[in-house]
Amino acid sequence: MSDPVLSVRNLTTHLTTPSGRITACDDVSFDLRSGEVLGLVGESGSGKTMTALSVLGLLPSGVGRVARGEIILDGTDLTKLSRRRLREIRGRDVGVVFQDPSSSLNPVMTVGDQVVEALAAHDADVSNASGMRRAVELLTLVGIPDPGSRVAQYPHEYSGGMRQRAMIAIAIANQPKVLIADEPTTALDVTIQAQVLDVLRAARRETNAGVILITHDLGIVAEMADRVAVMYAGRIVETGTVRDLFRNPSHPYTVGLLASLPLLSDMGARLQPIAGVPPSGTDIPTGCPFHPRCPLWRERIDCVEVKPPLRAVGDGHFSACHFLEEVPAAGLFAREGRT
Amino acid sequence: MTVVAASIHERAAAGEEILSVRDLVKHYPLLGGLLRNQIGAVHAVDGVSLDLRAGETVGLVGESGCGKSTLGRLILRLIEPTAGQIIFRGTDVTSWRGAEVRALRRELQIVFQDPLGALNPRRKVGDIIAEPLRIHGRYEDGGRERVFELLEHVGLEAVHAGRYPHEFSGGQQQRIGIARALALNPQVLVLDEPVSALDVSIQAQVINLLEDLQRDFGLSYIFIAHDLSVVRHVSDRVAVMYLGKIVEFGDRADIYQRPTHPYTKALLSAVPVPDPDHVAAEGRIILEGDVPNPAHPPSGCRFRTRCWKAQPVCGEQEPALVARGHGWTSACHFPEGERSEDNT
Repeated sequence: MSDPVLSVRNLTTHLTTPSGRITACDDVSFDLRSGEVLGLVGESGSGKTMTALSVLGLLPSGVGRVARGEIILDGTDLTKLSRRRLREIRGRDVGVVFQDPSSSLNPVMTVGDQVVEALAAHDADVSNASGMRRAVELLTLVGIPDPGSRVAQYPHEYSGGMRQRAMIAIAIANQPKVLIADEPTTALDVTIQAQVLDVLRAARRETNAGVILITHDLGIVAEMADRVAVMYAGRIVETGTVRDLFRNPSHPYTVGLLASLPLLSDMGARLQPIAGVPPSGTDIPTGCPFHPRCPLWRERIDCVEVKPPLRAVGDGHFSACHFLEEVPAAGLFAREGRT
Repeated sequence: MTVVAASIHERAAAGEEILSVRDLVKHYPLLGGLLRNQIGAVHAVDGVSLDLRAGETVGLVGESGCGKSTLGRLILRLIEPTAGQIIFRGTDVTSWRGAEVRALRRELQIVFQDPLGALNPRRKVGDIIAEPLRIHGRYEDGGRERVFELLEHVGLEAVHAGRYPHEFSGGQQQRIGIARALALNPQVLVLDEPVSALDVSIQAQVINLLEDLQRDFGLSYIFIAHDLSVVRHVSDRVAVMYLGKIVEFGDRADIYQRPTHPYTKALLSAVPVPDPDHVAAEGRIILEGDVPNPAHPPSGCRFRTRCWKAQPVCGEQEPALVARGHGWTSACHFPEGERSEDNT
């Protein structure tokens, strides 16, 4: 297997808030290889976006801080770099697509100028003319109709789906090694989402970048990802191939998420929700953060006192559960819970 | 009118038609020019007919701008229709005013998508739930106990009445919104994206709650959502909307297993399936382009600009809703899988 292009080791990120310090990422480790899609899934507040912002060096300043761990991109530890060096790498080696394209694009610059700006920021030799030619190529690649004239338009003249295509064009302008897409289709309608997911696939083929796809939608994960990491309360609780996760889920939280989903094939069989609510950043339970909601807990002391480490379930398949041998594929959430 | 108003307050028997809308239209004027004259209209809802039976759930699906939320608000008389009729329990309530609308509100209630935005942040939960009782003069007579009972119905506790909305999680806030909607013991709830803002594990809790309440109180639901999997789960019948019109309406099984309108088919095909081994039977249909501007909908069939089957006739003639089976209609000149047998 090839060396990872990005290797995150024991990443711990703190946020300072008025109500106290939050551990947004707690000992997060994963590898990303060129050309693969790693799905990062979890519910709101699980730490997916903070993991991405840590990698990008874009934690809110004065609030967020990488407290521990390494983020190694192609042999360089990003946590050791100055803000200036980091800025050079961001946009060249790491591209990013956020959920809301309207707030990521500059409203008073044409889309073409924004692509040229991204190119010129990392390559002093880019002229306006060669940059514009490249911009038209990129807009063509992401499927913007009539790119020759669209390149001179402003973001407000684009539809939501087209803006997200333009964001992807900018993100891949410099052939990045890593592309981070944070809920890239959450704001879009389902038929437009299908278009944009197709564009993301094309962008990965074109650049051979490793893609971190952050989403709460398990359908998108199943469709797009090669491997998956499931996050809960700042920790990765299970990781493996897409097939491992969906066919042989080995953490009670993953099993619970899958049982909560209404399926297109289902005809009204009762859903099996997870009891309770995800913890907020300031009151994460001790030991295994999932234990108060876990049907396997049964008052056992280990779950309350010891943070379970990731243990191998199979080749490349890990689960952070003290009692993962007890996780059956079905029936775990037979009794319904209520908040 | 008093006689009529009294009859709407009787509980409908299961299966009886409780609510119907006929050719409902809502146009929003577009103003322009120096004198702010009307230069056009946004066709938010453009000739929709729909019926709801007691005890059932009708799902309304479609993408942003298709008019599903506007339709929900028209039914509640929160906004005035441009044309058409709203009939509740056999009585045309379209032109009802003032006290009559208040009487209607006892039977028709709405739950919104954003629970926190729909709850007054400065009032305690008990007061929020009691408000409809006070407005309708029902608080004095056992209102306090009714609030506790409602909290229990939605899976909360009496102690919660003394807290403020921000002290609750998103799922609990939605439960509070549901308790308020149930306060006057209505017969119909319009649920406008009730679980879209919630995380997956919480979404399932609220869906189960809505199912329990429907069974326990014989409620009828209009369930508006963009999530096709959720709509399939909760609905008995489903209406698919596109640019202000219903393009297909029928039983859940028909709509999801044998869609006849190309838009329904494309919409279902676009949903990512949480199964890595899933392969779409006929490959994924990816529609081109965006939904057209509802101020200038295409001539003829509104879907034709994105439809792979479009022919010249589609631009010239608007397809009517045609029966495809028992109570199943769709509006397409070239429907999918034309079935030879007709099971009416």
